[in-house]
Amino acid sequence: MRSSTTVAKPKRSRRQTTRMVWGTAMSLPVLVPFLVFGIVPLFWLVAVSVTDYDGFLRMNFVGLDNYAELAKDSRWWRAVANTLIIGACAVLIQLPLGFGLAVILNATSKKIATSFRTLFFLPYIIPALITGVLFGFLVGPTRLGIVNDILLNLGWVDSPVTFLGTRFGALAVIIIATVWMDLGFTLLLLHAGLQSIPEELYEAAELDGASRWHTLRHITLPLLRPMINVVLLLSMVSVMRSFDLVKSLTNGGPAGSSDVMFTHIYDLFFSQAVYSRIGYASAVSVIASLIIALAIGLMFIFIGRGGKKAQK
Amino acid sequence: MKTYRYRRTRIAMYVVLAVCALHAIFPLLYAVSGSFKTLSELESSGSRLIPDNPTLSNFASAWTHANFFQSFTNSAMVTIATTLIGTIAAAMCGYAFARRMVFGSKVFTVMMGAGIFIGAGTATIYPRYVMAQALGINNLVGVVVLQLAEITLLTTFLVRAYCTDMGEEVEEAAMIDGCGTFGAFWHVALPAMRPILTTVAVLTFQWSWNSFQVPLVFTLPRPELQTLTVSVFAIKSAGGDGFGEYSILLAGAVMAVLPIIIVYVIAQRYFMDGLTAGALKG
Repeated sequence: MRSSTTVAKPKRSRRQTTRMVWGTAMSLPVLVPFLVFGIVPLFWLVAVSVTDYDGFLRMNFVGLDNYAELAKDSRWWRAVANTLIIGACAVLIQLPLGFGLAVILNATSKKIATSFRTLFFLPYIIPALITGVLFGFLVGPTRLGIVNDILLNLGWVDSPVTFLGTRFGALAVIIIATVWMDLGFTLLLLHAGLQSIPEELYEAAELDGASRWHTLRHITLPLLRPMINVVLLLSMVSVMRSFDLVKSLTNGGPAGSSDVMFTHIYDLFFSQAVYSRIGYASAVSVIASLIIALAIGLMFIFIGRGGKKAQK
Repeated sequence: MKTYRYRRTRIAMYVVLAVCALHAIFPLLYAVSGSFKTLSELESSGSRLIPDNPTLSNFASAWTHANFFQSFTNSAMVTIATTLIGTIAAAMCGYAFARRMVFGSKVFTVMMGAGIFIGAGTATIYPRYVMAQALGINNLVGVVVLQLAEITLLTTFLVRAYCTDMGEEVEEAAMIDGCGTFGAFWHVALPAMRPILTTVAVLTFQWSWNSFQVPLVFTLPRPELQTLTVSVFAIKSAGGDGFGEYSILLAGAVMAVLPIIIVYVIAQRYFMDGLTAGALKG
């Protein structure tokens, strides 16, 4: 049996073929929806992106006109910039914060660590849409918003602050909400990573008289490196694909200045004003997918290199 | 001296943890407290967490007036269908992949891996809707199918990894005893997969209940089909500038969060294990 599989292309026995047919049939409930709704739409996008399809009848081949136009579309590139800014800031805040909390959790008893982890993880499991709604309330532009209520009570401001009224403010609130939402997950992974580091290493380091700083630098961080990479990758991907939170928190406002890639694309496809430009929206979608693929590719290269360095 | 310092560090640690944990649950506390406040109280004192005269009227009017009863039922139906079908589908497909009994499994593995990261995002939502329309399922059935197409990618990988570790000796023995391929799966492998299937079911439930974009596109113009997340969003975007739907909005948010928190409290171990495993394999 084993030797037959190593031969170049073994003829499958009849029993094996029956088995394969069964296996493939069992996979169809996953594979068919995936092919129809996961793969075909990608080809659809690429095909439509070179036309001026209006969603109804008109569909002429326009070559790369859509792509040429989108290269100069400042609203789109602002959305890309917003996405990258949110991603970078959120990761830079939650990685050190999550690491610090993970170290503290790791030093407490198992029971306490578990119950705190449960609380920290709560924001991650609720709908991102609700997170957006709740943060909209917290920073609401009247006394209804808790932040304004406190500021007014303290007398620090005379009239309520409209936090979401500027691009800077809107992005800042989105970043805070993103960190709030994802921190529990970062913490979960880093804590799991810390727990997989053998206790003996720390004992040996203590015997050798290593300072806490040295232990952190030369034992904890290098061994945690793979987990940190996973966290980096996942948080970047989740921010690049984020839609629910931004849609419900700022809806891209004010005036589209806090749009991220996907809220912008959604508006291109579905908002009535530009409904007729499906071809253009498809081109933007293709570029968005390429940007995400590129980011993931770069991340993997970066991770691969880091991994090799750690081995040396 | 040393124990004294040790104790001080410990206390500092707990203080930091407690402060951060408070931040983690604070917005939820705000929502719960706000959903029990009258509108005027909500608008005058956002920072007071204990309502002066708690009232259930927000929930009552959300339930009837804002049609949340319908949305809640829709969400529940979609989630239950997705969880049941998704778990069984992932179990069968993950098992078949683990036992190398799928034609073209290598190609599919690569495509599905890429699909987890790139496909099925907002980029393809329009063509997906067009396809669903063409197939005549631009309704709640379509929502279920689209969610399955997205969620089962990751859960299939989880099941596959579990089955690969499981070893196939018992199944082979069963087949020698006259069990067919499917019989060996159904009677031998499936019962042994219970732990991972619980994880898969819990994750599928969470993703399906929380999902927003697909139901938004499919059901926003048709209130009778809206799921809970879509209804909450509809109220938020309609009542945006101070039209007094705030307390109903908060009640709706609490209703959208409550089922998922209940499931989380009951099955948190599966959440954590599943998400950790999913992250490391994905």
